[in-house]
Amino acid sequence: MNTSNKEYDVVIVGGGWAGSLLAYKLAAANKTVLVLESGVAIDGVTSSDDNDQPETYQRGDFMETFYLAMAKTPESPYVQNYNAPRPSVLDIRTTAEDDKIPDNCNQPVKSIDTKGYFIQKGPMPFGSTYERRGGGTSWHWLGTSLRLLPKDFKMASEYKVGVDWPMKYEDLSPYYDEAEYEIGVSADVEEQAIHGITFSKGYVYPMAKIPPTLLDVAMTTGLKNFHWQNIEMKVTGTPAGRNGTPNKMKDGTYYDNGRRQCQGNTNCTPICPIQAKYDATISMKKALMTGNVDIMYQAVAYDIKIDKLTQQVTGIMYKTYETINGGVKDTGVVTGKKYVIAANAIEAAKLLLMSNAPFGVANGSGQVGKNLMDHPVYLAWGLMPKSTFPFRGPLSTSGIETTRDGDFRKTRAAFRIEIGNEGWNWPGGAPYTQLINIVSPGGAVAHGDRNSFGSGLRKQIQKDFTRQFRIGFLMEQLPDANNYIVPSKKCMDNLGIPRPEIHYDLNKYTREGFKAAADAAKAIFSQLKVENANTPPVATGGQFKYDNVTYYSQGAGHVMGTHRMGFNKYDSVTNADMKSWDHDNLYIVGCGSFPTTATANPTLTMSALCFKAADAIIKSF
Amino acid sequence: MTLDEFVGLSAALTGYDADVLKPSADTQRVSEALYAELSNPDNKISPAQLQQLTDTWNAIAHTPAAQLEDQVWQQIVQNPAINRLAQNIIYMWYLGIWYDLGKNPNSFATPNNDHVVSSVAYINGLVWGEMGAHPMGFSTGDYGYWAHTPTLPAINAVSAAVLK
Ligand SMILES: Cc1cc2nc3c(=O)[nH]c(=O)nc-3n(C[C@H](O)[C@H](O)[C@H](O)COP(=O)(O)OP(=O)(O)OC[C@H]3O[C@@H](n4cnc5c(N)ncnc54)[C@H](O)[C@@H]3O)c2cc1C
Ligand code: SF4
Repeated sequence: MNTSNKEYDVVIVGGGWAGSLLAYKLAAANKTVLVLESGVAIDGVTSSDDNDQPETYQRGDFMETFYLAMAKTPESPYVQNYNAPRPSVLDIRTTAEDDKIPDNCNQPVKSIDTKGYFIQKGPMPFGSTYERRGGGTSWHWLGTSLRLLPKDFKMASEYKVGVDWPMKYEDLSPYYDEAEYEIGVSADVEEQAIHGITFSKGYVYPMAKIPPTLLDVAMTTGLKNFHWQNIEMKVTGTPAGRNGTPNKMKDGTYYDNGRRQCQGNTNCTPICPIQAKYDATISMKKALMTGNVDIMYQAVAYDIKIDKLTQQVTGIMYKTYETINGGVKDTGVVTGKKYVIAANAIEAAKLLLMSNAPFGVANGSGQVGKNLMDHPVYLAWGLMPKSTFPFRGPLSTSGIETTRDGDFRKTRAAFRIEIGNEGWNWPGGAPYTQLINIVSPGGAVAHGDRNSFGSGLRKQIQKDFTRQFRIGFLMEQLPDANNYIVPSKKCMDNLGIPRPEIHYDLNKYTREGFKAAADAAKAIFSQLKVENANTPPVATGGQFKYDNVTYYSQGAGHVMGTHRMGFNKYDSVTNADMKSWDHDNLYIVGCGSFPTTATANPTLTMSALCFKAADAIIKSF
Repeated sequence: MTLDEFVGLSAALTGYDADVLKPSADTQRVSEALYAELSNPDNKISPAQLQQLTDTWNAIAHTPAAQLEDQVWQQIVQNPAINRLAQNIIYMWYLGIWYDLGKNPNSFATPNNDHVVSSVAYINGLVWGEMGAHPMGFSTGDYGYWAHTPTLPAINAVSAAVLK
């Protein structure tokens, strides 16, 4: 693609979720857009004049890789790209191991292979990952699309912890409508109107709520009128970005996004085989169809050029590569009138800090890369008294949201409870580990009992595996300057670009949340007469001791906070339109914009914010 | 071990009739893919052990269905010389995975030769249907099927030696 002689209205770094939404909305408003995407292309999501895309992938390629993967992790369908590497849940190491990385670790392929991509400085490992290819981390996501609660926007003024958002729920509400329409969310308005969430008059979600699973029903019945610490543990359907049954919209037509209905493949993470679940390539495809958008794959941004006098961004430097294992092919620069960084919270902060040495770009507040947050997950799992048949339906269809707000937030993290439909898959490697434990519990030479094969084995699977279930508590985290990412000084990737060095911990507020979660899990299990599994999770995550109890924490994939919005240039990186306080023509979008995490999976809110930023950009021309 | 012997032994070990494992109209050809692992040099199977397993199986293959599992329990499952290989046949059928014989399947130690036999072997893994489910990432159900209770497959005494 020949971009050198073209000046675009907007240059976007990152063709993932946020980048695709922005490209689409800007292009629909007749702005010309160039997207730089670090990863490889997705078949059919390329610019029209671009028929020599070096590497393209199709959903079928990903499915085959997934089927053949031993560990079916979120990354398993997607091969590592050493020129635009990404973290994997299989290489979340402890600090001790990473400290052994020699100072001269300038052989990135090797070091990524054995040590993972992140340089984890601890004290806790950061457990979340993301994807770098066309469509970004939307390839991983589960589909959960909850709105934030009105009080989530004002943690400081309501509870005297964290900071307030520079906007109210009401400001974002119309953008939520827009985001739910684009993603295609299935949910029920009445059920979602909790803790002060309001909808515009006559609002309906694009699609009706996804039918609950047998587990959801068992939990709803079993927890009816059950209270824990004065909170009603009410089970409700979870809004999901996957296709259900279309609703009649306000204009009288039925919602139709042209994609298939969910078939219940129970595989939303790591990949929906039939694209019933939204992913960002859908919006990018629409963006490309306007004719106003060009996308350049295999182009890794590494430097944002700033004019010293005007403080305007004047261009983005990038490196290209031929194959996922080869090194640098070319370097170049692209220019536009306005610039958007949409590279995922960690990569975005890294890019900002790598540029304009020694201060970085957009970093007048010193907040870039700081306040790294996630929703650390506490898992609880056991056997239901009766079969509730896991591994059927979407990965999660219901949850408990009544625990998301309350006065307790003055002292401890709130959480939401996700009900998982994949048995012990996450905490216990199900069904693999349990089957092995029956057939050869002691390992290589030992054997199981009389029922470790044949009809006895079948009976055990039918009786026990069908009762497996787990719940996950998504914990709130507060912004904290001690949790941060910086570009590594010594560890590079294949293109010679620094890898992210991460400093991360869970503070007392979040640990108190874990303690409360463990207590809630105990109460729920006893109410439902659940046999607790009582073993540590097989999944690698963080581990910590609090009040003499060992807790295990998993990453949620919700990377937030690294370029937060705020009220002024001293406390934040951007304003409420996600415009940099320091550079008039630079916008920074993604979950990195979040001042606080709340408890809802973040991407619906992030999408609403992207549409808000797009409005501001369009108006600024 | 011949393919028929493999399917017969597989029936006795898995609890599924041989004609389920290798149907007459066999479009998936799972049995053949799994059988091929026995002669995959990467798997480093001792020929003597494989022969012993074959001989042991042939000696009990014609036991009446009601007593067959007792024989498998006594002669194969409890026999340390051959049971690890037999366990791998169970894993292949239920999970589609070949586990390195030299290591404990419960350990994630690397490097090893654990591998998914093929996507067909994964998709046809018996464990999923046994739970009334489908392999993760491969469903032929319709929208909303998950709201209805599945029927689990019936378990009968297996007659393994039906193959001619
Ligand atoms: C396992 C998992 C499950 C999840 N489930 C949910 C869920 O149920 N609900 C929810 O709300 N959220 C979920 N998420 C989070 C969601 O996926 C992310 O919030 C979302 O994808 C973030 O969008 P983004 O555009 O900021 O980043 P991404 O989607 O990651 O896109 C960033 C893009 O930028 C590109 N890029 C990076 N660096 C550069 C560079 N230097 N130059 C050029 N391009 C670059 C990348 O290649 C990528 O394509 C999940 C995440 C994970 C990992
Ligand atoms: S349940 Fe299956 S079909 Fe439905 S969204 Fe998830 S992966 Fe796609």
